[in-house]
Amino acid sequence: MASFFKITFLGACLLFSSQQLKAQKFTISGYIKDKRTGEVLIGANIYNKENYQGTTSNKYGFYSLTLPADSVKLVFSFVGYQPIETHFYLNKDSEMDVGLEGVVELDEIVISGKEEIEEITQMSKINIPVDQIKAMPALLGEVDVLKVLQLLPGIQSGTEGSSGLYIRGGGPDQNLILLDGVPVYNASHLFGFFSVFNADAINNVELIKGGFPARYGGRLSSVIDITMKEGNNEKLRGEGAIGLVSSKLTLEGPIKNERTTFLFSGRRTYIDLLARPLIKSATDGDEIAGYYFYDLNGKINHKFSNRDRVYLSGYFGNDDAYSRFSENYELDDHSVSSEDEFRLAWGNIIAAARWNHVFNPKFFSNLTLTYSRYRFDVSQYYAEERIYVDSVDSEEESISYFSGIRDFGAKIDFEFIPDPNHYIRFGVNAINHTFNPGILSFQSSVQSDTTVGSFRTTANEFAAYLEDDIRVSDNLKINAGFHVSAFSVGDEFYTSFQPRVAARYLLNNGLSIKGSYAQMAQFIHLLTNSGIGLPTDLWLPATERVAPQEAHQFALGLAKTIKKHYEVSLEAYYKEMEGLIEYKEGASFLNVDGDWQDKVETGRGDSYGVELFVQKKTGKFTGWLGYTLSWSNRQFDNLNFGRWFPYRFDRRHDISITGVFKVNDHIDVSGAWVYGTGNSITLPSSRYIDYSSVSALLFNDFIPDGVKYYDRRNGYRMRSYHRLDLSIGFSKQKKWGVRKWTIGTYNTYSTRNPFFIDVHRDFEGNRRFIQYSLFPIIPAISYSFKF
Amino acid sequence: MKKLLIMVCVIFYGCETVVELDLDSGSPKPVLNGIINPDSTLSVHISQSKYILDKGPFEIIRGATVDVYENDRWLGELLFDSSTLFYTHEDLKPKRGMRYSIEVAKEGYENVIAETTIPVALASISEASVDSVLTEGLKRFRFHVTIEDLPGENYYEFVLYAYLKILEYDRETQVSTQIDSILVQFSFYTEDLRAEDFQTSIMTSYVLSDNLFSGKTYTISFHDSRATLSGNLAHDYSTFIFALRHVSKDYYLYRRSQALQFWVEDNPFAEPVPVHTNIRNGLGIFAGYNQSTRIVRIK
Repeated sequence: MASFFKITFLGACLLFSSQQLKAQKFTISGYIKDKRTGEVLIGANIYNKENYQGTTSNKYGFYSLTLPADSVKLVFSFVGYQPIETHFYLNKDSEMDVGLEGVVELDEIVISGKEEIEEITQMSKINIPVDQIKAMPALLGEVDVLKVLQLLPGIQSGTEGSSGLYIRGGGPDQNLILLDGVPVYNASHLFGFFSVFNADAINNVELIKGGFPARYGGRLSSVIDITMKEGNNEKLRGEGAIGLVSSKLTLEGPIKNERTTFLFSGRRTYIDLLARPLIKSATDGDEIAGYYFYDLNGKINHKFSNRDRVYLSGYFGNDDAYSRFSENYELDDHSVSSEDEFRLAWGNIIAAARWNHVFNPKFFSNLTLTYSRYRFDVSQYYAEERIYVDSVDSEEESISYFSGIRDFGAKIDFEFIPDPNHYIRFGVNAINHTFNPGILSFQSSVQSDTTVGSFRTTANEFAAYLEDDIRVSDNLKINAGFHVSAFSVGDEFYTSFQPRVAARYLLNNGLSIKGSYAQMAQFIHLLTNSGIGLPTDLWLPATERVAPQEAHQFALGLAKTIKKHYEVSLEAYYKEMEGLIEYKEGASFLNVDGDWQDKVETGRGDSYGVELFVQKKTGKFTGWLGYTLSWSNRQFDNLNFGRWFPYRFDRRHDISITGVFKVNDHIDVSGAWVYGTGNSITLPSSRYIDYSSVSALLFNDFIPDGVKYYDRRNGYRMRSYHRLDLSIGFSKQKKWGVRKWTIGTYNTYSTRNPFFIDVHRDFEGNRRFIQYSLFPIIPAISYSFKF
Repeated sequence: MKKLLIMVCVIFYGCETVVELDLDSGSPKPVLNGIINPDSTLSVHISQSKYILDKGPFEIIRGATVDVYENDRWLGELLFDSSTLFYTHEDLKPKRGMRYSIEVAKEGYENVIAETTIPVALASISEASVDSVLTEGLKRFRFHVTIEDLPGENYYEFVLYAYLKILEYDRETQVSTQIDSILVQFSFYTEDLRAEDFQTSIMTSYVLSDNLFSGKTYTISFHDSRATLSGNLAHDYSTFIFALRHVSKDYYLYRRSQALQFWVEDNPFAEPVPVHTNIRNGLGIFAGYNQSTRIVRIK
């Protein structure tokens, strides 16, 4: 009996110790990078084949996976890269930095990561690989990130050629466009035809249009998170392109061993330089006129240790349209010399300093200091000097108008991953805004100086959030959290509590059902006449008179990966928005006198629709099909007589089909076809006599104009929009690297797509509707290189 | 390089296309215009709208039955006067504080209905004066008017009339002699009105609300805005009549939106402005006002 107890006791001890050993958990953490360039891979999958538990790398490439002490078969994978599988016995915390190798022939790769579309809790999120963005056909050969995003379901392009984004019925101001974590306020060059993002300097683009995790806030409709490359840590590399309108060059490499790397990228258009000799010769050298834009991106990062990294990044971009005219001439008793100069300029400056710190393998932090400035300037200067025999008479006048916004910000974000069932994020941030909502200044040597317009306003915005990505069971995952924010402007203090929740339930057949609810608040407004992202649009704060914007969005969807290559998602959404602003009827930014608050109306809106997205990210053929069926409406008490009206970019059907086909190692062909229901516009349907003119009807030979009658605001739809873009690229390996010729056409079958419609009256009084179109077929050729 | 430049030029090539649009042009709407006040007989003008591209004249609607009601009591029927093209009744004059309704029946149209109330209180000008300033070498009139605001929410229209001297010039004596004078509406502008106030398109009146000077006095200065054709613009007028109309809100909204539509017509950045109407089953305006005046003679 005694021996029985001994055996039982020993057995129990052994069992207990083995259970304890089994229950003990350790953490594997590290960074995932491109093996060739050292560039971090964002959203790479890491999972253990033994128990199907996994995680993904964050936007700094960091991952953390806590598993029970046991044998593990860890797989690291990322789209377009050869997966790595490693086997070992986990019995202590381990740091494991992994470099994945890019592959050319994607067909061979089977992405075995568990984080496929049906696995991810987050819905309404799309990642487009940068290589795919760069392979798409582009207007004038200028690869444009935002224009590619316009081809996704739920995202509309606004007007022809513009890079504005209208996401799920929201306005362009409702998109939080982040470049390395810093908000970009005007992402357009050349009146919206190009965006400010140089694709060569970009590592990752992520778009979220619904089901926003709690870590994001400040805008109603989307988050477009663009991460710049860090710079190659192996050797000096470069790439560039020479195109019809611009050229660009990107250089990157290590500064000192592998710890410090840099990236520098520049782009400039040269229409002005090409045209300058022609203009000079045509005007006898008296006149200079031109337009150009440039971008400069720079980034330096330094790795102090595996626990501490610092990143400094900046963007400088400017558009400049200018003309200078000077003349000298002789009169009877004096000579005159005059100078006339006009300048229209706008641009962004963005800077960020970030510090990553790994407290321990489960606890990651990032501190960011940001600066963002957007400024729009129009100026005209005139000077005249009259030289007499015994005296000199001169006068000077200058008029300038400027508007803009400037932010200083600080934020700290924490990520805590206690085990594979929880991914906790929390943080706080603060932004100091300065708004300049349009000031006109007149200075003269002969008249008194005058300054009119709206006052400069400062405001402070604060936010904090907490979210957890919870794995409830193998089938059910929930991301729940809240975002609280506050805005202080003048004597007003606005606060907002925004709950967020998203869930996915995985069915046995690999299909997942997803649902989400997000409440969003936005304390800044964009006052726009054009709706196409002109530089004249004004950024304005919520004030005592103009409340912040708010939105509630519900989304429900299905997701499934078919045959390992095709990600299919179907989503329905409903969004309500309040606190929207519009110019009062008849008001425009041209009326600079008076306060902007007197020129706006506030109202509400709703939008709802269904989106289908089929994407193929791997293989010789990649691309996607997107279809959106949607409605978007607005209601303002003092517009359209208080009745609901369609939003200007309410688009019932929106289809995009894109494809990139890699014929062989040297040739790739790409195409994009888009179709969209015509935009809504306001047109008069009839005219009628007004009270002041009725007496004129007594005179038979005079027909008064009367007044125009508009059935309803945005009550007419322009013709539908469709366009086919094609491109073919020829690559060749050279001793120094790779060169590529790209030939493409924009609007290949030259559709006269409507830009706007106006009623035109000729000298004989005949009226007609005239439709204006922008681009017929536009061929493009560019030469790019990489070394 | 030359080819490159040509291609660059092609980029910004815009094209225009004349397009046929599927706008609703089938049914013209009846248009009722009637601004009534206690100093005039009650009359309204009735026409119909025309398709936006039609070049022809506006068509008068004749043969309609136009009934008038005062505080829901039938007053009478207005009859068409072909000399003025108005429907009128010479015995009917609106009264202050009364509500007037119009009902127009005409075959082929739904019955057109509108109503308005003549404001009770008379608007008051407490001070009015005229002086002149030298602007760009020309002597021009300047006018100053002080309004005593009435209690509550009010809307006003300011109109300026002037007696224009009709002169006869004697070539022998080279002297001009006044032989007559005619009453004209005088055009003017101001720089001190606020955003809500608006100059009407004909530039001879201003409409304004009292929401920023409610219950107080409000002084406005106006400038002579006539075209500078002659050297001295301040010698042709003998008498000015300042008229302040206490108007209904519908009238204010109508005149304001009508003027706004006119002023922004050529501004491509401004949103189109629909003109306010209070006509059920039609377009136009039926509104009332009462008016007080002040006369200033030029010495």
